[in-house]
Amino acid sequence: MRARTKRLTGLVALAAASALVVGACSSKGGTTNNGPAYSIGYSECQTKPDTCNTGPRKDGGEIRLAIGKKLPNFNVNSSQGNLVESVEVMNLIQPSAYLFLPSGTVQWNKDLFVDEPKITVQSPQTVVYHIRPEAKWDDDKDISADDFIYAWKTNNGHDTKLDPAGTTGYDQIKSVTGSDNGKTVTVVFDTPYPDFPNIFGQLYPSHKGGDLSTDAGLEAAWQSFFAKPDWSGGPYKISSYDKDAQIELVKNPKWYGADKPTLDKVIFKFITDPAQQLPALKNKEIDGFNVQPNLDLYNGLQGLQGVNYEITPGYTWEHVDINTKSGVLSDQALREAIFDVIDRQAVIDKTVKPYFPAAKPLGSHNFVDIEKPYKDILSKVAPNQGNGKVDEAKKVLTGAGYTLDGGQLKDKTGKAVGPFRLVHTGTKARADTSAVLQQQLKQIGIPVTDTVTDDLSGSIDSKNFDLILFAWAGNPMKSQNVANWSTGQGNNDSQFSDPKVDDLLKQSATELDPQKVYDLQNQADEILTKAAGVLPLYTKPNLHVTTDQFVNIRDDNSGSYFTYNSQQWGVKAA
Amino acid sequence: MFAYTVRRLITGIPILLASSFISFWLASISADPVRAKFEGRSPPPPASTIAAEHHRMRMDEGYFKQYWDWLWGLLRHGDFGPSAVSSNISIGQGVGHASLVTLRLVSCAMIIALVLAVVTGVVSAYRQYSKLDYTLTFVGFLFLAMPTFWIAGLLKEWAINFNDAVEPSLGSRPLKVTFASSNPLPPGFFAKVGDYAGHLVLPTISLALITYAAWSRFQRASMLEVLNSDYIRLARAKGLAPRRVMIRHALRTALIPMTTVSALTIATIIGGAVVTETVFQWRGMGAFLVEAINAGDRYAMLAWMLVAGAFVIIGNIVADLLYAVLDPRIRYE
Repeated sequence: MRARTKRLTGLVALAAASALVVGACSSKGGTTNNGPAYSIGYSECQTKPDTCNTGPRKDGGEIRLAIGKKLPNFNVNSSQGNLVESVEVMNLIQPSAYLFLPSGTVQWNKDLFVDEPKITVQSPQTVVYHIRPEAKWDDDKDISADDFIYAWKTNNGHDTKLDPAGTTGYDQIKSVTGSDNGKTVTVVFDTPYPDFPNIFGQLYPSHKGGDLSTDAGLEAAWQSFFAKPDWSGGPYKISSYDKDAQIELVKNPKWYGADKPTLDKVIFKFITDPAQQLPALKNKEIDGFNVQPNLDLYNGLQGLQGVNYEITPGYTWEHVDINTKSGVLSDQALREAIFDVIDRQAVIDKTVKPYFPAAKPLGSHNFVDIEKPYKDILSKVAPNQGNGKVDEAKKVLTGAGYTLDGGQLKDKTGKAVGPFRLVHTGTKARADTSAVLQQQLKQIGIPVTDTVTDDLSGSIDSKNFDLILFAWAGNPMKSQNVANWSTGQGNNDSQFSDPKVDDLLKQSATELDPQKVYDLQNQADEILTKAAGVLPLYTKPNLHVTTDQFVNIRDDNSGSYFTYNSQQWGVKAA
Repeated sequence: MFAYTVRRLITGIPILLASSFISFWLASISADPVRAKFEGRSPPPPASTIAAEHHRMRMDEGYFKQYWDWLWGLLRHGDFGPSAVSSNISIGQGVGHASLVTLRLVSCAMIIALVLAVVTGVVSAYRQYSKLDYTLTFVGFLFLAMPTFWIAGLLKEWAINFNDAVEPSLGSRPLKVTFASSNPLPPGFFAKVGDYAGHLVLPTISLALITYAAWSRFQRASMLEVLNSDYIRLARAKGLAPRRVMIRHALRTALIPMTTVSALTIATIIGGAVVTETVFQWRGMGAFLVEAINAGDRYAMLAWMLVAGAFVIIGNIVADLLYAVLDPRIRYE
């Protein structure tokens, strides 16, 4: 539902990068690019992502963390407020039905519920939540079914005057009702929705919104939650807010959860240029940050005393798509040859490998390699794809009637193939990838024109590309894959179409048994992999940095973000 | 002079209007704030949300209607239009706050740059082709060749090392590398002043050095021209003290071209502040513009253009008025 939308203008990006280079070159730490992706304090995160950096805490202290954007508003369910950074902050004051742990485990919220929410009736799908009696907002009002009803009514797309960031799941709900004084919530779905942990993610105190029985009342409540919250249902509450500089939170004395916060203050500083976060850390103006890594940043961290970092894989994955409706590219043999000649390991070596040694080619369109259902479908059904098989590619082309004439590929009619426009956003990693791909495709006589765009969505929507390079941001929930590969769906950018795939994905969207969902999506993946429309490259890592005086803070790259367990953070006990 | 000032201010209005119209047109064709906001979201937001956002940003109206609504709203209610970031954000308040922050930075940098430029320019001219002149010329060209972000990056690294060195003895780190002040400010007047100064030093130096470098070259050239003129030779021949010749006769005249140059470079300095503010995370006009561009926020870009344009127009009027102070022959009716 959410995607990182961190952008910089070219000018400032160049400026920032160069400044970092200056910084890196002149710092005491020197430069290296052969270090590990985890420093000592976070070394356990490789094998124990949910429990690494655990330790006893002492009372008191404060932590100052940089986040990369100012907060547009505090209604994170609105299209205007739905930013990763907003959720990172609001996690401290909002209860969520489920947490996506760093390992990708989907965990029901044990502080909020008495027991695990269960599907009590298969058809119509009915899920029952039992809210803890002690779960209250900080004004002593119960967290209740009313809060779930408010979430449903404002996010289901019924009231077109509201601007929900997404309606998925909520639009399949038939009713939400409360019983036991609102402490039992019963949700009945119109159509099966296996990803139900994906909804009721950020709950708001409905009693603060006024009359919610009318559309006008809902709209007023929706707008009221744009303002700085004077309420909390989480371990902390907001004590001060400067919209240009920082937001400060203190302990919520009414917090009902098992783990009580020990930090006196949590401060998020809005350092909107990621390149300036490392100097701020070095000058002890912040205690940590969480960004997408690059080599300059990684080198700058080497040799810093008292600083821990981890570079972890997540659910965002880079891929190259072919526009299957663009002229000669509609020929599957040509697409296969293009994917065969691409050497993904060479791309990885040139881009993320220097700071993320664990990076390896991704073999699935539906699962990332840290997920349990992940299978290397590419190796199974199309072993040549993405492995730099030049000779195999030439064989495929020859078999399909193509000829290589003086270094230029020609089709059956003798017409030159290409040049193809490879569109991307021009970040350093993508520019490097583009350069590698140009060299590789040249080996089979296909010229490629490097085309940088500052309007990626525009290029995708208008199908104004032959090849395109970008990333999808996912999470452990799998219904979103339906929109990626089904015929005519908004995210199906390669315009791939196969009725069998449509059918398999449609089944997966209404299947309540997770294992069957995985099997159906892997079956669909085998078909779409053979069609050679989208080539997965690698999962993109995230960088999390804190000073070593804090315990229980770690990255969460699975969808709940690094603030998912803020109540457990603390200053390390001596 | 008052009537002249009013006339100049009035003639600035159509200039601002024309530039706002062009800016609005350029921003409209180059950026789609709704697309920029929803880019990469998976699954994409519902069609009703996208339509509502288009309506809120007035993008369902024709271009001229959008511009007229903006202009009319601005003139009648002081409304700068809807923010593309969020409906609860006021562009007017944002640009007002940002302009004050930038004024603090730019005015400090300009004063330092002017003093440095005049002193080094005069000394260089007076000691033409001496070792001192060559040294100052070298330093001037060195800073002239350095991009703002590079100087800023170097200064940051230097400040971090400086703080590391003095922290054990002072118990604090006096130089700050992000933001315009601490939040909250420390208690006590001197502590507050110290906090502001600690945040101001690095960005001011980085902006001032770039500006000084160019201005010192102008000042040197202007001073050399004046020093070789007949009336200076006459003043010397009359037996006036060298100091009086330099300051009263030569410098006063040599400052006239500098006044023009400094007024014209206000726009450049504000441009330089974009990078400086980004590097030091000041929430001034530079950061305001970068955020507006990133969000494709056409109304915020317009607000920036209006305020920056007003700065430039006022700066030029001040320069015109200074001519009269520096040159007794100039009188405005």
